This record gives sequence, C-alpha cells and structure tokens, in this order.
Amino acid sequence: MKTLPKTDVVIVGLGAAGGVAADVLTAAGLKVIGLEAGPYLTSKDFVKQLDELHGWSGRNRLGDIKFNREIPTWRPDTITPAIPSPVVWPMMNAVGGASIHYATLSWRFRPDDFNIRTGTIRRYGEAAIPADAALADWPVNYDELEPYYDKVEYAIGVSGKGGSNPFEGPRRRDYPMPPLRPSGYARLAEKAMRALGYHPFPQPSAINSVNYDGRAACSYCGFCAGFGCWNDSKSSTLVTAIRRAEATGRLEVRPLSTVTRILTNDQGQTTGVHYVDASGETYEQPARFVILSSYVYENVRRLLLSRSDYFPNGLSNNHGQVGKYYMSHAYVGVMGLFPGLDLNAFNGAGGQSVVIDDFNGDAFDHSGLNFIRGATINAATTNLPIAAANTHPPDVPGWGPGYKDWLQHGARSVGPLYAQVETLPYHSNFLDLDPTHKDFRGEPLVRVTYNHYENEKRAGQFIADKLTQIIKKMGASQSWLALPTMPIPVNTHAYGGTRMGHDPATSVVNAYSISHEVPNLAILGGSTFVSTTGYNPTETIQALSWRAAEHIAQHFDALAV
Amino acid sequence: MSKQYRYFLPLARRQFIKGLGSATGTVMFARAGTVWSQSAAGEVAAYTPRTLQSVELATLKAIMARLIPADAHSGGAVEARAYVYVDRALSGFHAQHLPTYRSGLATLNALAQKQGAASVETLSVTDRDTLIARLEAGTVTEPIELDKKTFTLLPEGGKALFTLILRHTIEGTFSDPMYGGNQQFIGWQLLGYAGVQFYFSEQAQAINGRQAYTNRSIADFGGKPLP
Repeated sequence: MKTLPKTDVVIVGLGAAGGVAADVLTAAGLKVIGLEAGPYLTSKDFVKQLDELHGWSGRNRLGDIKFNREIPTWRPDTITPAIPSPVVWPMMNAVGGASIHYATLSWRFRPDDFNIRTGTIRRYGEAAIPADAALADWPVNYDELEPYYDKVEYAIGVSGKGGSNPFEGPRRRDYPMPPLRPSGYARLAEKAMRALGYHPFPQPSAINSVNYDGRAACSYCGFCAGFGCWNDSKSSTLVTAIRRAEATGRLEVRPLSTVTRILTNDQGQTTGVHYVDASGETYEQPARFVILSSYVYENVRRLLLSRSDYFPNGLSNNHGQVGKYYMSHAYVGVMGLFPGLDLNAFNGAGGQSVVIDDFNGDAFDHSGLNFIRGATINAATTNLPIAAANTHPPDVPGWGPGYKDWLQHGARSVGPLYAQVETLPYHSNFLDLDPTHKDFRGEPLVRVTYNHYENEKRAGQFIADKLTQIIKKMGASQSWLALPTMPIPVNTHAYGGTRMGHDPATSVVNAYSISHEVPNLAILGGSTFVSTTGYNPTETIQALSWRAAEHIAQHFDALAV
Repeated sequence: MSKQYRYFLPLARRQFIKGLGSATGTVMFARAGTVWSQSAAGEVAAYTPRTLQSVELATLKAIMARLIPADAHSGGAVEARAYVYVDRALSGFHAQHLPTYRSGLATLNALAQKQGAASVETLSVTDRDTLIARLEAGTVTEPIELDKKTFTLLPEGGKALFTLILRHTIEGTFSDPMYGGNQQFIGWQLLGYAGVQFYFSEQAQAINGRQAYTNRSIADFGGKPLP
C-alpha cells in the first residue's frame, strides 16, 4: 500500500453531490482530491451510446464497473430471507455520477416538505401519522435552503418558469433559462389538466433549453433518461461543477478509484481513506476532512465496513443510526390509448413534460382520505422501441398476429401518465450488511429490508384514480394501470440511512451534513434525506451539498484535523 | 449558431446528413404494402449459430415465427433475425440463461414428438400456437419424457420459459441492428421508429408529426455492441 501526500479534503464519489461540493470547496481555495469508482467519460463516449440496450432500462452498461456488481439484496421484513432484489432501478458510476444519466427533473422541495411532522400534526392531528412511521421534521427549512437552490439553478443550469407552479415556495428570481418547449403530448395533457381545474406547469429541468454557460441547447434526441448527453446539454456535474473545480487547479480527479475504507484515529476523527485503483494497486490517501458522497447504499455500506476500536459498529454508528429510516420512491403509471393519434413519442428530453403539484405533499386537504402526503403527476412521452413494444393494452394479446397488428397500428397511439408517490420513513424499513450475499471483492452486499404499508397503498390508489381521470379527459378511449404502486427495493430514488437531524439519537448527520460523531466527516446525498417528498431529489441534494461545503470551507480550520 | 455551441458533433453531423440522403430507399421497404415473403430477405437461412446447436436454433426460430409473425405487411421476429440476437446474447450478456434455453428447447421438442411431429419446427401453425399458449398459461405441468431414462418438468408449467423467450424476442426485434436482430430495420419500421436521430424540431415532435426514416443504427456513428 502506497501512502500519498495529505490533502485538505478527499471526496468519496464525484457525482451530483460530490461534484457540487468540489466546486464550492475549490472556489474557497481548498485542495481537493476526488476519488470516483467509475471512469472519466465525455460526450465523445456518450455519442456512441444512443442504444436502448445500453441504457438503464436495458443492460445499464454505465453501471457495469461497480453498481451492477453489488446490487443490494431485499427482504420485505425481518423474518423473510433476503434474495437478490427482483426490482432494480439502477444507478451508474462515472465522474459526474448519476447526474450523467438522470432524467434531469429538477425540483425545489416545498416549504411543507421540511416540516412534514409538525405540519401533519397541526393540520390532521397526531393520529394521522401511521404507528410505525418515523416521521420527523428536517433540520433545515425552505427559507434556509432557498439561497442554495438559487445558486444551484444558476451554477448547474436549470430550465423552468418561476411562478408557474402555484404551490411552490417563494423564490428570489426566475430560473436562468426558460422551460423546455412542450411536446405535442405535453400540450394535450396540459389542456386536459387545466380543464379539470388543476394547475399544470412545465417541468423544471436541469438541461439547457437555450445555449447556456458555453453548452448547447437540448436537441430533443430522445436518448436522455438512462444515457449520457452527447451534446453536453444535460447539466450533469461532469460538465458544470466538476469542470469548474478542475479549472481552478485545486481539484484532482482520480477515476476508477474505489474507496474501501474510511480511516479513523483513536480520537474518533477521520484521517483519510484507503482506495484501490483499476490495476488493483492500493493506496492510503490522508486528508484533513473526508466527504462521503457515493450513494445511499454505498454510503451506508462503507460506514458499516469502516469499523475501528472507536467505532466498533461502523463509522459514525455509535448511536446505531446508520442504515435506519430507509425510503424509496413509489410510482404509479397509467397508459391510455388514443385511437387515430400518432403521439410521436420516439424523441424528446427526459424533463420535457407537463406536471401538476395539486396532489403533492400537503397541497391538498387530506381530511377523510386516510393517508398523508401525495405525488407529482407528470405527462411525458419520451419512449424507445423495446419499451414501446411493451405498452400493449390488457385486451391485446402479448404475442401472435394480434400483437403484431397492434405493434403496427396501435403502439404509436399509447401514451402514459406517471406519478411519483411520497413514501414515509418507517422503523421497520432499514439497510444493513447482508450476512450471506457478497460482492466480487468478497465484501457483504447491502441488505434492504423494505415494504410498503397502508399509507403508500392508499396514496397510490388515490393517485391512480387521478391519473385515470386526467388521461380520460385527454381523450383516451381506454386506459389501464401499467405500473401499480409497488415497493422498489433498489432504486435511483432511494433515501435515508444517514438521516440528517439535530439529535444524534435519531440521526447521523447535522443540518450541515456533518456527522454527529465524527467532526471532520460529512455525508452527502439522498442518504441524508428525512422524507422522500413527491419530488425528484437531485436539486435538493445539490442545494444541501452546496450549503454543507460552504459551511465546511468557512469553518475549515475548526473542523478539519 | 455561434461556433462554441453545437447541435451535432462534427462526425455525427456528416453522418446524419448522409443518412437523410440515403434513407428513402429503405423506407419504402416495409411500408409499401407488398406481400412479405421469406425470399425478400435472402440471407435468412444462412446463419450458423455460435452458441446454440442448430436444432435448438431451429426450434427457437419456430417459436419466434409465431410470437411476432410475418404477415402481408411486413416481416416478423424471424425475418428481423431476432434469433441471431439471442444466439449471440447467450454467449454474452444473457449467458446465464443458456441452460434454461438448452433444457427448455429440448423439452419442447420432446413435447412435439409426443404429438407425433419430429420437432416444434414441424408442428402445424395451429399446434405451435396451442403449445405456446399452454406455456404462457403455465399449464405444461406434466413430466415430459426426454429419452427412455430421463423425465423433465418445465419450471412454472412453462411460463418462465415463455416469458424469457418472448422478452428476448422483443429485445432482438426492436434493439439496435448492431446486436444482430432488427435486420433491415424490420422491428423499428414495424413500430414506425425512424432510427437514431440527433435533432428533433418542434414540428417533428408534434402529434401526427411523423418522422422521415433515417434508418440509422448507432453503429453508423461509432457505436459498438458490448457483449
């Protein structure tokens, strides 16, 4: 093992969160080493990958180097043996992380998301909270995070229309770019949503709607969610934050470098990390401050595997909180058949959609509904051939002449509505190390213990009814439930495991994402989330990362070792 | 457009424009309403499998021919050579499924022999459809004699095998032609998918705003099929 020269900060995982932290820390003058398990890819690689099988709905080749080799196992409860997860919505590994292949849906959470517990009790009483739910308020509120949402929207590049969503929190200024242009299908959906009295608005999206920051406007090529952007239009950290950080000369990116252990001294401080490179060579990288920003599963696993005398149950786990309050977004999908309409869906951007927030969070009165929270509802058509071939209505056979006929005459007339359903944190949903299943290095996989409960089922049914109502209004002659609400144990929208909070007895990190137990360790990403909300996580992950990095830089000498 | 911005990488742009020019010849291929015949795709018979035995390949083709059949309008899974996709994938990404194919296809031929045919391939179309429907329903639950000494059972009454073959047939028919299936863009043209394209105008995204066929595979832009 080679011991390398000490640096100010080592970042473990250079993705959506770590990339933003690198930008802020290097701008403040700190020297940063970014260790990324994945390769350093560019648009020259992505232009050769416009191939449905390459993407995440196919073979997820961008996850080959790490994620695909360590997919967590799953069990619904503690009495059922864990098995390889039957449902996997996959992550990827590269410099820039999953901000390379995400659909770019870029949201600010709403004010009521941050005080989910007290707000629920105030409006519906304590009895409205399910018995096993570990519902808690966030240790930050919307007003504290608003400046960082603004910084992220401008530094990363988000397209949208401020004020178009009547349910959003106050914002200091509009988005830096106008929304993506609506597709034909989005126009159809918008009209129906408005006719029903809802409040449709263009999806805020981290992709260039116009040329911005030296990067080209989106060309609507159709290879968006699940693919790297060949045109550098997508506002991944690869082409924004990391590019800027490298330009300072203070960020050294080390791709294909997998961290195996976070090191601690006898005072419970981190001293750096061990990592292994592509050739199998191992290194010790000393650092004054460590930022763990891989992903929910790997954040938890790396902490649990970094045991020491000071932390016998895993790093930052002396209160037994690492792995707790695991959450995963739920979805509902309804398809509609629009006879005679060619919906023309083989194109477009992942965030090119129309949305309503009318049934999300606490935007509507839940009295008498027997569930809390809700979902965002989204109309987007972007589709690719293999996926399209699997959208036949239930009364059309799935093979044979009838199927063939539908492929030819019906497939282009099927359009979806999707909802992203907020799920609650429960004491019975958690992550730990699988005692039997191991990865290719011989390390235990993460074991996901996760299930849905009544709140998720009732919310899912309520939202499915809304989807059906909207798609009928859009003119569908027939509609069907294509994606029922079901637990997605392994998800690109996974949360919790290192929850943020004020109390070390019920959380792992504080409001600045710094470990309660390790003063010079920060943990970034969805693993710090207190609730899922109905929104996509990335912009909030980045706002929290910015706020954390700014705090670390401002107090560096007090925090660092 | 200022020079620092780009819609197309230089290579992609050249290829794209070239693609538009040459596309029309093939566009008409599946859309002209001509009666499809095997002879229209002369090379169909000429594939030597790299993973499956030739009898296994013939059985697979006989099933695929019914899953997405050729008809008066266009070719189906066999004409698209989805079996080439599967045969290659069984040595690569789907290698873990090879044992399922091996035992499953042998079992299906044994079933066909019980019905007096030499193999699935020689079953009548009606008998093949009946067999596939039984697999889909998971009702092939009886022990099947493979030879004098060996009996076998299909997992889930055949449903698992059906699901696997159908899934791979769809993948093969509709994936990029560089993987071996979707030859002559038969699958994509069936769905009206125009091929890889780097830019769409607002009009091109409108409802009923159908695309001109580019008939481009990502291989035309440097893409390579990973195993």
